[in-house]
Amino acid sequence: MKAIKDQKHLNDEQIALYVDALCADKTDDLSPEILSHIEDCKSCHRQAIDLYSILDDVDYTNVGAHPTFDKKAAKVFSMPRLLMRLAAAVALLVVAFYFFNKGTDLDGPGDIVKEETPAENTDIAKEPKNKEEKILQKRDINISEKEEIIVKDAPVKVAAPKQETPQPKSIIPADNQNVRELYAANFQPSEEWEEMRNEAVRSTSFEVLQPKSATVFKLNTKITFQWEGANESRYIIVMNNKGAEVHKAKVITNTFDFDLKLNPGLYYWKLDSDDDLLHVGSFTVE
Amino acid sequence: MSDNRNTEELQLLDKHPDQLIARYQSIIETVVAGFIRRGFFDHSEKMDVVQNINTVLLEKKLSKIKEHFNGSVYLRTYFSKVVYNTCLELTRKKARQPIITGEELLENETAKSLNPEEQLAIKDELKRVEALLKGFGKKATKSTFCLKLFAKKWLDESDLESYNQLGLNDELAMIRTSFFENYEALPDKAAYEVAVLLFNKLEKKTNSADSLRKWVNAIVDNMIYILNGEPPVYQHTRDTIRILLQMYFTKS
Repeated sequence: MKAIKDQKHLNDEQIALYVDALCADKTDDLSPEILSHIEDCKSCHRQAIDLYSILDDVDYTNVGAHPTFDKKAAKVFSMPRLLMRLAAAVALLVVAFYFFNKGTDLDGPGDIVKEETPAENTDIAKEPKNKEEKILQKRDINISEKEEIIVKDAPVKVAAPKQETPQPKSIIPADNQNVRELYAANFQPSEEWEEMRNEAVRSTSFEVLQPKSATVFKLNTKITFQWEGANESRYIIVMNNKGAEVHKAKVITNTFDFDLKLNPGLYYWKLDSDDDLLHVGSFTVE
Repeated sequence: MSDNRNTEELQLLDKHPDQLIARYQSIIETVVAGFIRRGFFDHSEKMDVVQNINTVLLEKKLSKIKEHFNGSVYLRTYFSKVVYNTCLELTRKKARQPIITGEELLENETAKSLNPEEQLAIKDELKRVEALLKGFGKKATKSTFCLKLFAKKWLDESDLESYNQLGLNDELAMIRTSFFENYEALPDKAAYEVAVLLFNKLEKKTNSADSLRKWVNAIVDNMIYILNGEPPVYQHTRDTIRILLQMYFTKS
């Protein structure tokens, strides 16, 4: 028989097994291959839920033990008593060992989603690598002072300060400096927002006319946002690469001129209302 | 009658397949009724369709069942799937005009002005929604919680059972304040801003409310796609899913 991963679709018996599992609330007992196929294959999933709804009217009284799900349970209960005790003792030891190591730090229920944590400013979060960097971090210096130091110690890569709050004031780096290197942390993409970027979050005829995705703007350039297909009033929100809000404005037309001075870096923007997220895009300033 | 009908039916399949078909007539009729409810066949065609299926089973499919069935499920589930396939094949042969379950039908349900057929169609849809929710498996707790928010369904302590004892007192207090009574007027975004605090703490993440909203919308869109069929037989939208979920959570 073909392995499930090599099949284009589940066969009838595999779909029936999924349906029996739904009826008996035993989806946890299904093989990961079946679960993963159902998650990925809408056709098989649809057939399964159709069958499930139809079977609601089929009589299942006195059908006896389930050939798959009850077999596992029956196996456990038919173990010799001594073996059962041994298994229980081992299980207890494992649990005790787990709690001994883990302490009381319990995780939540196992329904964690595949959401990604926004990219952290790792350069800043890391322990300083050498004394010089340590001094830099401890000192309460302003950005221009820091730039000077970085120029002197070119090989030592020091990230720009973490942007916790909006920083409307633009800092123009000295000539011949590599902006991206100076502001490396500001250009680090956020996994969370990258994932959302460019997705038409709501399925409409909405289209962004400008800026096109990942457009690069020079410092102090006016940025015009323009779209079509969304006529109701919305909020346009510009965020830095950590997801911190830099600017928010209510827009009632299909265009918005943004001339706030931004630091070099990667920015995300979204069109939003209280009830809907319409678009997420990005642009770069350098 | 034996207390293990499955074993009995397996023996019939092996030795007296014609008797098995006779025993399973009610299953065939149930599956056909399901297709009639969705508008694939007319009521008047029911017995013809059943007869057609009997013929196909006896001439072709019963021998295939004997050949392919491995016994990992109840025979009646497997048999139902075979009948379901046969119904699909029959519908493909004829031009079909299925009932379109849309917003209007669901809104009428709330007004209790539906005929029995429409009520059965909605019951069917609710069972399909139930199957989708049960299929969330390990994600069920979070998904159900979020879908209740999507449907603006009031929460109660039973929704928080999985989260008690996890040191989430502040987040749960906010949930209680926000969602334990009517929050119809609360914008979705504001609702997700409260909920994301709970999940971030639980999952040790720093996701935004938008991220949670996107996750929920993706679940809903997937539900729409699956329920509508390909090519679409239904016309579900986020609004009809919201109504269906409200009904489902109320009735469950």
